[in-house]
Amino acid sequence: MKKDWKKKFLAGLLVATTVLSLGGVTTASAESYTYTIKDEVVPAPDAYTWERSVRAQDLGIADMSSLTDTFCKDGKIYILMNGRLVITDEDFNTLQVITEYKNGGETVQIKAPKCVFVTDNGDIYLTEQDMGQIIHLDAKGNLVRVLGDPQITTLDGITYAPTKVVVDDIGRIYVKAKSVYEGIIELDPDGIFNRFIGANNVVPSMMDRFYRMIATEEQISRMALWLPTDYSDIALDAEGYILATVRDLTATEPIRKLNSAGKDVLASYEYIASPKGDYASAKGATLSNLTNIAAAEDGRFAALDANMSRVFVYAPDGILLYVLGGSGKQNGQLNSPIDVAFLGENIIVADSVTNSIEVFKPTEYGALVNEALRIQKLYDYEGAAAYWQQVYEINPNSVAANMGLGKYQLRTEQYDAALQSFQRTGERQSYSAAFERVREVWLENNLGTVIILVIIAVIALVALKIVLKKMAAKGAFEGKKWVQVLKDIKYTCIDWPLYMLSSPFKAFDDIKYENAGSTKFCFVIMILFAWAALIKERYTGFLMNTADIENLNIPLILISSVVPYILFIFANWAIGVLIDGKGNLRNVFKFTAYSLYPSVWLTIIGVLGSRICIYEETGLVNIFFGAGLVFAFFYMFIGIIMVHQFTFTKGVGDVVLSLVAMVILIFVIVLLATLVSGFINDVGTIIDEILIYL
Amino acid sequence: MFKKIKTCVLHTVLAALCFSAVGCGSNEIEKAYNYKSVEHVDGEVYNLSNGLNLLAEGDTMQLYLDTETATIRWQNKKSGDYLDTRIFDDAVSDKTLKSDIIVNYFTGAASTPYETYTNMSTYEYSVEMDTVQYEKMDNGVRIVYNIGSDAITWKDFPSKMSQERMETLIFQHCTEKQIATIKKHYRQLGDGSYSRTFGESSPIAGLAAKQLYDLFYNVCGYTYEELEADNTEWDKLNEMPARQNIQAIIEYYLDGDELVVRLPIEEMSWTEDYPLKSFDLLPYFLSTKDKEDGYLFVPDGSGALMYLENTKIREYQFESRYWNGDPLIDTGTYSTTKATMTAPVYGIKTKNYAVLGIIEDGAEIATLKAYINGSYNSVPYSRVSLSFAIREDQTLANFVDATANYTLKKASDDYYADDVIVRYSFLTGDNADYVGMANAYKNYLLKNGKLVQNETESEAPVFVEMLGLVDSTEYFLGIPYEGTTNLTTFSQAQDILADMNSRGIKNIKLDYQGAANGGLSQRTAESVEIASELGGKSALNKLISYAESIGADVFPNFQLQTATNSSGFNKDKKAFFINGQVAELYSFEPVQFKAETTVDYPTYVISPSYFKTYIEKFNKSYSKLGYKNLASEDLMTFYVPTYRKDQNVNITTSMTTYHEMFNALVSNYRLMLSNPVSEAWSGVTYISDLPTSGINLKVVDCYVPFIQMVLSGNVVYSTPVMNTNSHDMTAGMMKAFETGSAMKFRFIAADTNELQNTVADNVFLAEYNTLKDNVAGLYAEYASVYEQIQGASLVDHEVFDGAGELVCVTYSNGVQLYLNYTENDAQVGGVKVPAGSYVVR
Repeated sequence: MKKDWKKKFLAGLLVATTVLSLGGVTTASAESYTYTIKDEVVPAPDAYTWERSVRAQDLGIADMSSLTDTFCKDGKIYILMNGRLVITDEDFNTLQVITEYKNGGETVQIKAPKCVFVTDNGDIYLTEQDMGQIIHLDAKGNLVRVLGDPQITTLDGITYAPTKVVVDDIGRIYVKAKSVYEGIIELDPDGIFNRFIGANNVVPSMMDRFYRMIATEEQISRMALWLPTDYSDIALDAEGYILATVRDLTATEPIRKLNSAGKDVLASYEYIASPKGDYASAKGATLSNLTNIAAAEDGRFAALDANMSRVFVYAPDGILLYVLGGSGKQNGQLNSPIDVAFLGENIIVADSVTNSIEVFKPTEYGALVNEALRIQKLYDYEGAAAYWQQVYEINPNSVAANMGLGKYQLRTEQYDAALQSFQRTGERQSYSAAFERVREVWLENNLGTVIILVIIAVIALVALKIVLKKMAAKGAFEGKKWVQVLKDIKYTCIDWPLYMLSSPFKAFDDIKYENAGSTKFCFVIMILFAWAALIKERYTGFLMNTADIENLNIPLILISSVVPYILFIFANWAIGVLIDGKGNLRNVFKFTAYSLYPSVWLTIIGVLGSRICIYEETGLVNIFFGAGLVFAFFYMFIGIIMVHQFTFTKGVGDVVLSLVAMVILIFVIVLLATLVSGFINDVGTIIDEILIYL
Repeated sequence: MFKKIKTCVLHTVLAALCFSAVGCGSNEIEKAYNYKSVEHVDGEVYNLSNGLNLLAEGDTMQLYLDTETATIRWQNKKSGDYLDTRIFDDAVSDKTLKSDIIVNYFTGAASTPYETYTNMSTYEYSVEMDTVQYEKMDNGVRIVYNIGSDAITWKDFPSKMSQERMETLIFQHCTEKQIATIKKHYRQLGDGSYSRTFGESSPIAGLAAKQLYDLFYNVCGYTYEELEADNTEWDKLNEMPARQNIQAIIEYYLDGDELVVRLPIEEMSWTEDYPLKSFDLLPYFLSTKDKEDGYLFVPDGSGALMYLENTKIREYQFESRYWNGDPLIDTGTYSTTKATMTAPVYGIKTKNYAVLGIIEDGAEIATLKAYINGSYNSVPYSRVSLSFAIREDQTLANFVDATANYTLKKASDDYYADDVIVRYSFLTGDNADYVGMANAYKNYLLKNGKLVQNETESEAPVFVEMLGLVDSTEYFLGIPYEGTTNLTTFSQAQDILADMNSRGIKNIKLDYQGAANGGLSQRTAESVEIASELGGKSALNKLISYAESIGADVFPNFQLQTATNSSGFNKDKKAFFINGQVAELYSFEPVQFKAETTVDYPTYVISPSYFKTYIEKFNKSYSKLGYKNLASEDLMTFYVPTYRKDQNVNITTSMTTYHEMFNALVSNYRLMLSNPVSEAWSGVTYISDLPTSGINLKVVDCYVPFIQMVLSGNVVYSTPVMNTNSHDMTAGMMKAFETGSAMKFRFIAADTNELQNTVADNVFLAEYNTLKDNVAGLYAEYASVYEQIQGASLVDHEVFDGAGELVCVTYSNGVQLYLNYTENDAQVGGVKVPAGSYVVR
């Protein structure tokens, strides 16, 4: 095997290279990864490695080709396939094979069961989907009862076909049935229909409603029905919640944790993606097709993705812990997984291509994560933190580890460390709490120094001014060229802009009639304005910054900051020409640029402020960012009136028309850009093809 | 076309060839096939009777030829066990069983971008058609197959015929009814001429073709000369008929007891319209119907076994290229099935014997396929076989529509024209297993100078990889620039060495990666620039002299066959894909496995046409530094041709260049290479990252240290990096014992955080500070065992549990190690081995 990091750039050549986990003898084959809070996919250590494949002959049966479900309970594994239920111990030694049961005097064969569930006292429930029955057997395989169609009145015309079943500890039976979109069917312990829970409400978008309004009846009939989404699997977790996966490839929350009232109680974090398999953005839809879900005793849950044959394992609060499986031909990869289950510390996955049950065991890394969670569940945060620290040492990207560590560090007053941890989890509230303390401590320690520094600075400034005055009095600066340059700069950068700010009407009038203000400096302002946008994007404090600062799209930031104003300049000038404005292009450019000048400084002040504020103070900082814009628009409006010599109303009209002109400009530019890029693309394709044929 | 087939004109008597002779022009045979009586070059006449003829005899093996079926039988004199090149099994309809060669050929011009191909077997298309010739040679026979089909195609009929010619040549010989038949296929145009209604897009086949052919050529006496005249008249000369006709030559002879199979590709010929793409060689030679007590041996990673007793027929069967294949082919497709096979060997073990195949020539184009019983077309044979790619092809594009997937492919202009030689050893008794195969291969290498004895290490060696510099994006006042991050500076490396030394770790082989030319995303190395960020030349010199003072060795590591972009690295220096674009080696994003075609530092392959200059420049620059050690992570790990239009370099030529430059480096430096191909074994001082397992295909049952048994005692080698994601590295150390390897660790001095957003972001657990105690303890344990096996080599390996988790290895000084990787205590051969531990005896 090769070095794993090298894969990054030699992967094409050495695709065979896989990460060797020499912690165990067996090797993991899939490239593990995880998501950061910035939606980045980053490599992660293997949390589980493949241990063995269990095949039919290991179970002592001839064939396992119709495998449909597995279930683990109290050290026993229930393996379900057409015609039989095989019960084994933890090492897959067959204990019992149930192929039939006695109903009255009649022996009934097990046919094509889809799901097996075992209660705490060992009772077995099987769903015979095609027969519309749920078979309830006792631990020995004797029939207790057959639950038939619960005769739900709202489901007229639908053949009752139960696919999945779970039974909670007070005996309520939850059934997922085919073609039932009202939710999960809840039956009381006697098998009588109670109600539906967890119905997916359909929320048609405004657009949908609009289309429906204008569509003809024929069109409506051809549109897809507004069917609520269908659940693909249900499972019962250790605390009695029902975990469910949604069969909807566009769902943003395809995994639900339903309480007895049918409400989704899965914790949600503002900046951490809710559990959804693979995704492109944390708020977006899943990329996975989640078909199966399983819960572990310790609260973890695993969801199976049929698209890429992966198993995603989540902490009880929905934080992604690790990913295993993946489609491929190697041990530990899956071909067509149909079921996942927790077997103690291990995870088992049933695969319908290889007709096998793949057993995965935790690596050191995986075991550390599991142990940390287990201890954390007992509210021993200190004990858990020791494990999280080890997890963190192996994988600093682990969101769960950072969350665990951060909470512990906050509690034990390790504020600096807590800041780092919370940064990696995106938890801004907690970060703020830690930062408040850090700031306090810093001020306590450094207040004296700060005050002294400020006093020294003031004294130095005053002294400098006195010295300069004296030197000027002596005539030391007379005739010196650099003195004049400095004075010019001061005038251009400070004095005139201040004059403009204090008396905008006069200043803009001067621009028009005395050519006041410096065009060169206006260019500088535009550059500074773009740069300030960049500074804001990159250096705004964590509390107020949700950008992915390691992967900024710099050109986009620069362009989107100045281009609207440049467009405005041209649009306003053009409109001015049309409606008899007096300003020329240079005038418009100047007043626009000067109007943006305050914003440059306010942004920088805001950025500084954002780095020392806490959560409650962010509103204050936002005022700085907002004020820049308000100032800009205010002065620009005055500029329009003065430069073009408009009345107030005409000024308003000019603004509106300018905006329209901007839209037209954008349209033309986009059109041109599309045409040109399309043309370039086509030419490129033609050249490529010619090269291929040559 | 007919004339382009290089058919050798044949004479009554064969002037047989010595096997080394080239060119079949000297060898004239009359145009009558199936010779039973052949003459050797010395004039002696051999009479080949029907049935089995003894061709050659060694000490233990005999070689027979069955002239009825062109079957070669290689038989053990003592036991009578034999291998046949053809298997006649009435229960199996698959004709590949009966063939020693299956040729795959393009059914259209190969270089147009929509090639398709099909195949013919020597049995169906030559033996059954009685077009086989034999030539006697020393200790063997040369068989010439004229593989071909005489199926009639649309090209056998003129595209157009003038009214006059049609009437005089055809119609006047026909009855009314026959004319009507012809007119069904020929439409009369306005000018009176006749135009064919079928063609390339609507071909004629079966009975209709036969009927029309009969009318034209038999009834009317039409000839191919007339056809040519017609086609000339209508400017359709490119439509002259071409029979798929491939002349395949294969030689079988005994060298001692070993069977050598040689295919002189250069002497083979084929129709230009149907160029040879590849061929399967001896698909069922190493095969068995037995289901017990044996295995197929494939050299995946360290060497792997696929047991004959197996039910994994639904799993992907083993198929992989030797020597990492041609990395320029289908680089954009993610694959989980490509094994790393550095040694060109394969084998089979059955109840009574084992056979090892060694590819002497042609491993660079060879693919190994292994199928367990019932997995290939339900054929009830387990088999392991080779195929050879004469002409590479590349997928240009994939289209998907509602009904099907379409693949657009293009083949290379150049083709492999060297020999293909495979040598088989028959192993019996105690040697009939993978240990025997390893010994046979080792002896073969030693005999041919492909493996030489290096000095052994007196103290337990440990390989340490350190990562130096890595590219990272840095910001100055919000403005990003391409900066770098130091992972381990030279002085930090020195501190680590000092710390390791103080903890009793001796004999360190430091593989320093990313120390020069831009770091881990290494730029071209034509001029070597030691990274100044890490301390520059002086700090590296200091590190090296310090290392020498404590008995350690520093190997600066360079990528020498690949590089990322840098100024002056223009396309003349880069290899090209078949599609005419600059070749880039892609990595794959882990979610959807899409090739990452836009990365900050794409990796390019140095073109073989420039490779010589490149290494010469590197050598000149590197030698000025005065270092005696050099490591490379990619040198001799693969061979590439370049497919650049008009400047292509074929694989044979490029291999010569690679070997020449490798030898130049060998003569100047002590080399440490990362799991190089077998051709490099004789030149290296150290091999790092020698796999202790492989890619773990589901169909593979057990990994064995085959490569290590070959190398043991000759080259010092290490395991792959052990600290990948676990503090507990006991199992890794046990693998080192099992394979006779040194351990290998990877360290950085910087915080693990520094790796994020760099190319090394998939390195975990490499911070020296968090590992030092573990590593020191592990080394002490390793050294105490090493003391007992110092100077000894691996001589035996035994697997007790089938999965390779309970094994015993024997060293040449008699020391035995029992290793138990399972979670349960085990009792083996009277030795109790605790779970996850080992016992030295």
